[in-house]
Amino acid sequence: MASGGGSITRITGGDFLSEINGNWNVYTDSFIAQAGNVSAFTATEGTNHGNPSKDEDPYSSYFEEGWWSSDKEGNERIIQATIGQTVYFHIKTKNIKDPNAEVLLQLYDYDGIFNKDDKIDIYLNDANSPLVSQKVTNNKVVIPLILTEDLVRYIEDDAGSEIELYFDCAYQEDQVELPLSKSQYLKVSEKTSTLTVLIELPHSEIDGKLNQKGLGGHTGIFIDDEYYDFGPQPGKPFLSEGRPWWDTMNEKGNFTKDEMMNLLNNDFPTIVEQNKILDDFIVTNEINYPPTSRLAMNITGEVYLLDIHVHESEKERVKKWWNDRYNDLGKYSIIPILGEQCTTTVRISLSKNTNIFDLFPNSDLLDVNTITITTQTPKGFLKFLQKSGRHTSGEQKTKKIEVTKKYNEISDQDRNQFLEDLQELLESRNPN
Amino acid sequence: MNSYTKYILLFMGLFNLISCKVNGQEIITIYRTQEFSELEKDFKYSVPDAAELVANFIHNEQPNLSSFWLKLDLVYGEYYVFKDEPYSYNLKIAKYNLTGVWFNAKTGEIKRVKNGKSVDVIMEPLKSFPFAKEYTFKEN
Repeated sequence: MASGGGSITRITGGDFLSEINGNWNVYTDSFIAQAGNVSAFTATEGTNHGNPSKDEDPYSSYFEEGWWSSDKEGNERIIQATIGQTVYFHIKTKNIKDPNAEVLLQLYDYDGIFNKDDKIDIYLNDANSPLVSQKVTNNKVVIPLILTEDLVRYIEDDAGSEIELYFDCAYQEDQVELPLSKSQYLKVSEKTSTLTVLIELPHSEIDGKLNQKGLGGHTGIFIDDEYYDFGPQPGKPFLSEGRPWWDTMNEKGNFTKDEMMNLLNNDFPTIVEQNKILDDFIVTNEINYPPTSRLAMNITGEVYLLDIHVHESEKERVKKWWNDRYNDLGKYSIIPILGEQCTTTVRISLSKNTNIFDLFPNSDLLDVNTITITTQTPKGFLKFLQKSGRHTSGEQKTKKIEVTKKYNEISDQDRNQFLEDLQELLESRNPN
Repeated sequence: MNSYTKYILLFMGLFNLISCKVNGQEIITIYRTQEFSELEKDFKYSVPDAAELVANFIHNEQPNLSSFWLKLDLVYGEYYVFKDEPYSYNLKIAKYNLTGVWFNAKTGEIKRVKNGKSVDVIMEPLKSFPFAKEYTFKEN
């Protein structure tokens, strides 16, 4: 017996026979019978079609059904929603004639058959006390619900990616869990957000051990519309007050994601920009490239972008971490005990605020090519992300993080050619 | 701050103190700046003219080299420092290695400097427009 709104599912590989000496009565709103081959209803004394003399479910006499919807009217039924969405729960009752009748309500997160379901208090219209009942009007109850960030902790507690919501409802002696079918419970998940890590490897023609080891490269991160990174005071990589690096190199002192992405797509200034550079140079005797190309920013090494799909809450934590960091950047140092580097800073922001490294948190510790006593190299971090990083949300969840886009390095030959051409353009304007 | 960190900071401070004296260096002037324009007034040779002479110098050194690039980012004292090998400057380290072919802008003296020292210099991105030219020589 499944009383109070439960459901029974029977699956059998062979036959399923019920022999009943008395009556077999089925009272239901809809009756579906499907057969792969033949469907037969036979009766010794004939088969009757029509209304039964009695249609009554003694176990849920006041509650007909409950469902989730995305609209207030309840026409758009849903079983999936995301944090931040407003949803509505509808209860259809019957035979409640008291004009002041109220249904007792409690929201729960279904935790499976082996765990106790989590009780979730909800507050309507900034009420001080949680919702416990709602008035029945024309045998209908509607509960609006904003799926706030507070629900994220239930998702995290479940160690999963979603929670399933239902209401425990009671009126007089009747108590049911609605929706009646667990398959109709509202599955609430977090939105999927994307973090993008940018890694520039040292240019293949750069000299100097420190450069080759990693200082010649750089690492940053895109979060929402913004770009963040960390670097030393120029010329003081051993110990100095940290500062945003590329992020402060334009006139505004802040690169957006779009601006940085655009410049990565342009190796050199356009001809219009070149003319403007030279116009200004002739007047001021100073060179000012617009920060719209890789050459202008001296980003000439191979650049890799890696998209990481995470839960919205993880992204928000990473963003807050960087915003806090920008208020108090701390020390930069290639000596680990004295400070952080561009690469370690990005790594820490991810490991502290997301679960992307949970499966293989320290897989690179014994890899001398990846992490050394002096520095975490951009190349090593790139390898670590691909080897140990996993997406935590969306369709890519649990899959390996991969390179989303790669920009080739700008060769010394191409860089010099550009400079020579610009020089010739300048000479053509001022032959003397 | 633990005592280990204090010792490292002390050591680095002493190192910086000593290195300031050791690194007493000529004035460095970045090419195509206001400072360079002023400096150039006292020079006999312009950078393009010097580059031609340096190119011939390299051709005489290495007659089999049919083409090469000459690049110049800065002037060290009164020497134009030409690079004939690929070289990338990194603002994080802000050191410039002076290895290359030096050309005295006042006297026309040319010399190849091998294993040149590295000097402190800040060259901001967005503000750098080095001299660069490719030289090609027909094989004899």
